[in-house]
Amino acid sequence: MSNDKKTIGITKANYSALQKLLQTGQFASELDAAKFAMAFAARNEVPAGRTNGADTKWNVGSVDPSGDLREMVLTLYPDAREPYRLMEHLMNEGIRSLAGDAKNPDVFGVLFSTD
Amino acid sequence: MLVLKALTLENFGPFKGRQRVEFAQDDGVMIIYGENMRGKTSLLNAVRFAFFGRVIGRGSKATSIHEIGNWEEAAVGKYGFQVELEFSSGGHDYKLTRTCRARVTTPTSDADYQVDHFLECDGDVLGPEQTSTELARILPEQISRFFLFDGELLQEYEDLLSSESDMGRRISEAIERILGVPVLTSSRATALRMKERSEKREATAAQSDQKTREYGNQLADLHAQRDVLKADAAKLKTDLDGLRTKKATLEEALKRKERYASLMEKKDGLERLVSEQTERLDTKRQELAAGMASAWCTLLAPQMRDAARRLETHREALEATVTRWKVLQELKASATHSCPTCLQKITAEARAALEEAASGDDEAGVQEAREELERVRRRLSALSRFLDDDRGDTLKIRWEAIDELEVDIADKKGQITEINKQLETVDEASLRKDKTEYEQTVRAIDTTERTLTDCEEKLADNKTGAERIQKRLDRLGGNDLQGERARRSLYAKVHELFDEAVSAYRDQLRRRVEADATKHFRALTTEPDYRSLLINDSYGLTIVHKDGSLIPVRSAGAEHVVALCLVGALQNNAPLQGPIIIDSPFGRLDRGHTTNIVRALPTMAKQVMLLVYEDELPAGLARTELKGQLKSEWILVRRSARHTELAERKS
Amino acid sequence: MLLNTVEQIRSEKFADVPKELVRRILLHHTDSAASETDMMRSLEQLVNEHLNEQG
Repeated sequence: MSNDKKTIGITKANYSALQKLLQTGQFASELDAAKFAMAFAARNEVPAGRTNGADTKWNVGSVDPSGDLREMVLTLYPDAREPYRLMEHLMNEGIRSLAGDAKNPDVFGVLFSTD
Repeated sequence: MLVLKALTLENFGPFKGRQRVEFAQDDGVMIIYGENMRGKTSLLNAVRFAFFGRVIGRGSKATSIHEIGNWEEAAVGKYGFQVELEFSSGGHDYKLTRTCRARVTTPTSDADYQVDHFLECDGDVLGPEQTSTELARILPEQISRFFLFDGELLQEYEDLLSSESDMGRRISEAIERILGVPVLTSSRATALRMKERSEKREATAAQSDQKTREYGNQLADLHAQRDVLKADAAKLKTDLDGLRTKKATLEEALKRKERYASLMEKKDGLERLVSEQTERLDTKRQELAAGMASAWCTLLAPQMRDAARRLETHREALEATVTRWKVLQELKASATHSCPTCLQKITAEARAALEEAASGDDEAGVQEAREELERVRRRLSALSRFLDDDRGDTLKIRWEAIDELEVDIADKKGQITEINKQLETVDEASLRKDKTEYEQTVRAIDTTERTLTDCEEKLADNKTGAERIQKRLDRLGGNDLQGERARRSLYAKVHELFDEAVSAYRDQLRRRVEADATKHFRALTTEPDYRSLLINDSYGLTIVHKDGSLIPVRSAGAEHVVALCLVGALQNNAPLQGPIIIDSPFGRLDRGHTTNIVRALPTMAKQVMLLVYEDELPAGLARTELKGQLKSEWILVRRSARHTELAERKS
Repeated sequence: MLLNTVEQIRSEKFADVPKELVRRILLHHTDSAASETDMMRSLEQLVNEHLNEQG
């Protein structure tokens, strides 16, 4: 029986960072930006965890209609008991490190750097 | 006749402080020597400025007043300048003073200056209206080019050859004015007016007699119509004149601003491109954003690929376990010796191996393996879909295209900024207005010309109609009309007389100008095969070869010589005579031509001033050729790059 | 030259046009302060006299 989250959200602290990502004009929606941030965190092997105090933003049905994203998270984090909570954590961690401090997040650099 | 006496300059061009040059009063030639950039042209411009308040620079452009004052004085805060010209004309002594004063402490443009002038005649200062009238009579600006002769401004003489050009038309009108033609054309107009008055009186008389009333009425109507048409035609001609002057002015202004006009065009082009590119950029950005929906797949692709590989291996192992168990169970259950899957015979050894391998398996374990296999398959499927969505290469291309476009747009914007800097001092709006106005003026000229032609055709019809009625009236008319008819007939003859006189005089003038110009030409040219000059309707001169053929194209040097011949011929024939001041007359001429011209100068005008440099006209040559006709020599002495002094050379 | 030209044409082709009439018109346009109206009035008078003489 799953205690997993049914909704995914962003913390207040990450709101402006998410906006910064959106203002680059490179993402069509907040969700696209959030998924990118999640992938960034996963690529950097951020340890599994939870992010508390996230306001609701999306239903998991909007984020992962096919359930494939859940499978992907479980592949990278086999011990995860609540993959959607982990997804939420990865998104928030990713947003914070991508755009928390930087004035202009270097999305291109992140995407195409060879190191 | 206009005779110059002295010129006093104050801070005009390189002439710092107050300096004076006196012109020789006896008939003859005065030479002022000065190297290039010493101020020879400034002297000519000073006379021009005194008479007309304008100074001409390179390419016939009006020079800005702000640039005329002495620069050394300006450097210490003294701006402005003054010119005083003393001359005599028609038995009176005049002094013309024109001053340019700065209105502000540090002027930066023409608007910061105030230009005033006044004229003294025999010691009395004249009022402003009288000053204008006198100056216009003594030296009208349109003909000044035949007295203040700048060797650099030869284009105007080229214009004369083409009577089609507006400039050519205006110059030939100016020449006719100095040659006295307007006296005849005005006399002809007077005669016409008297004839028409007589015709009207005749029509009125006809109206009072029953026998001739009908014709009288018709004539009166036609006369009334004629008056209206003539007034219309006169107004149209005035309008046309005004439009043509406006067109010439705008042409000049646009030519001056040509560079700015082309900069503005370039800027417009760049702005259009930037606008197009910005639109394209927006589209590309939208496409990129759409593509970025799957960018996260690109980001995680390496990890997903690794995971997929591991999962594949795991899946194979799980599938092996599950298959193994299934085969064994089926073998046990069916006691066959063939593999239920591939139907091949299983040997005893193979079976033993299978059982060995399956020794650790139990049902629960295999069930777990089955469930695990399901999970692994699901994950592999998800990973496979996400890896398919990885469009990293396309994304990269799109990003780079956007970068390139952004750089190009920034570059163009930079160019626009540069152009704007150059256009800072230009009133863009007024430049565009000039262009539009020019085009409108050209169209207006076209319309007005057509309307005028229309009007003139109606006048011709009116004239024919009136003549027809007049003839009928003549056959009928009684004694009352006879007197008026006799008057009308006389005035008609006077009109015809003046009409013929205008043509005859014009022809005579042209022939005399042609003859005098030819006389000068033969004295000046060094080419023995050139026989004469041929004049056209607008006083343009063409060289005629001794075999009768015309020499259509001329070198700048030849143009010089021909222009001088025209000047000399006009001076010989004009009721208005004056000095000739020539700036750099020999610059493009060889020694032969130079010698000839120097010798001929005294025959061209009574008072001749030459502004030359030593190489152009060596003092020795001038003295030898002119002898007693050389009345004085002056030199322009350099004190510094921006300070020249006038000094008389006393031998 | 101008006066000579006009006189030549008058005497050759328009001998019945009074010399004085032509002279006055030319004079007015060369150097005269008189108004056009005054001039035309004096010309009319001259013409009338001339025609009367002719009978």
